[in-house]
Amino acid sequence: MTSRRLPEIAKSSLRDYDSSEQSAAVWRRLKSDLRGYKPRERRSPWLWLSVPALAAVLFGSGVLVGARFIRPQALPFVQAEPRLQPLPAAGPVPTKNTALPEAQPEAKALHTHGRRSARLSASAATPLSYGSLETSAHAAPAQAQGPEWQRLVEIGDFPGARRALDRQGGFDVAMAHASPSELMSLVDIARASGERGQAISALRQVLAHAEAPEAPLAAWTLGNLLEQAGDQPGAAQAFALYRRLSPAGDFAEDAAARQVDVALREGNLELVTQLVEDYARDFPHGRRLSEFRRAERALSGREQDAGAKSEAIHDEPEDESEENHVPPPAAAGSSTPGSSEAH
Amino acid sequence: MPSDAVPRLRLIPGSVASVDPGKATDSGVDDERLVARALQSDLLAFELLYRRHSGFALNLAVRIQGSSIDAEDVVHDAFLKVSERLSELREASAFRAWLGSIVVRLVRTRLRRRRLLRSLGLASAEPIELDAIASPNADPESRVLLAQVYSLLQTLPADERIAWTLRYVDHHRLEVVAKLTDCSLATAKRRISRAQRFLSEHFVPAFAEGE
Repeated sequence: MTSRRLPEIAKSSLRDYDSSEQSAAVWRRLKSDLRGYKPRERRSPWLWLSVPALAAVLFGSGVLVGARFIRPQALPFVQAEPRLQPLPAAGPVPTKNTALPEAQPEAKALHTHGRRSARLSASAATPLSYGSLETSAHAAPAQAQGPEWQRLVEIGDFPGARRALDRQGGFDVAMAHASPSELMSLVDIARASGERGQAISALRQVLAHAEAPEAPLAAWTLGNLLEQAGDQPGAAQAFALYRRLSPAGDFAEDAAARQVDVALREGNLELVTQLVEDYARDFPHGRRLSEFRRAERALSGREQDAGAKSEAIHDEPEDESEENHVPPPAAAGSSTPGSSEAH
Repeated sequence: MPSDAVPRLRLIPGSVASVDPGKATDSGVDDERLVARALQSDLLAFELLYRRHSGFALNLAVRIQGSSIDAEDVVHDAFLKVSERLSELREASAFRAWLGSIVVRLVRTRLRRRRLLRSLGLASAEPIELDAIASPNADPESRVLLAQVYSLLQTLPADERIAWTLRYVDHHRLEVVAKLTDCSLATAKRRISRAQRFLSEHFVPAFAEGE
């Protein structure tokens, strides 16, 4: 297609809408839309700066409010309630343990285990509540105001506690005036320093307060120490005491089992039978029930064998006596010259 | 009218209908002052601005579109935007160009939307309203010329169509075209020349030179 020059469009040939009817019609619509007309004001640049500043202020105030009202010490009140099940070695963690030597890890373990067990025993007796937690929380400062050795025990410094104890009159003096709780601390000190006798003495003193929450733990610990010392009857009595003090305690099944162990070691079949029956009744799904049954049968079998042997042994002297009474002629005729000499 | 008489024109809410539109258009107050008054919520000043520039806006909308369909809506929306964004106008004396750019933008959006719908088969081609474009006093040759030019413009992209219309139908200078279409002068020139080349190639004179 060839290019042609485009004719010019004259302005006069175009329709002009100035002051037209359409213009008036638009204004009528616009007028109703513009009632309460107010042009939008220009946004200040400060507005755009103020938005992040406001956000920062809000964030900062949130952090301040959180830091002011959410205190770490409030957490145990929330977390303590579900922890009613026994947990191994989850006692209160010492806040500071700089003085505990590396060579004494067992001492610390003893301490924490003891405290935890005592708390569990107490929890079994009385259900945990917010009230009891408050009491224990407020009791902490009071403990901190006790003797120096007790404060050192609280932080796990058993050698330091021992030295402090010696400075303040010694173990026996402290034990004479100690409460069950303090006695348990003394037990920890004695055990950490290898003084088993002192520990047993302190434990026996705790058991004088049978109503104390520390009593079941004291009985259990005493049973262990007496067993280590070779006092099997004493250990059995201590375990039996634990079961009486805390029938549904954390170590009730173990205590019953240890009683059976002691009886088995003593070889007392009658006692073993009685204790195994008790164990089966109290713990029908006990871990060691089948083992005890087998051991009981074995002991019974040994007793029967021993009985048969003793009967056989008992029969032989009767024959000998008969021989003595009625000697065979051959034997009677062949008496040695020595024997006759002796006679 | 002296310039200090403007405050007396302040419209009391509820008395808008009583204002004589004829008097409003002949206020003689320049755009700068009217814009300043309109910024202070003076509805009469805004009406004066409307009376003064609505014809220009309508002409622009109709001439770019080639029809009066939705032209009133475009002008209505353009003045609503003006009322909302009047504070953004940096040079009050350039009110007319600013209004023109708003109208052009609205028309361009409408043309593009229409083109998209048409490509999807959801709308038909918009008919050319010759009576809306041509003056009632226009001679037949001019009417035929307008009819053919607008038929060809319909096939062009919106930007080129707008630029050429502003330049050769509305007879704006190149700088004004660039300003109204919100592009650089070079871009405006390029769009206009592309449309001009197309129209020159496809235009067929209705009447032979000998006739």
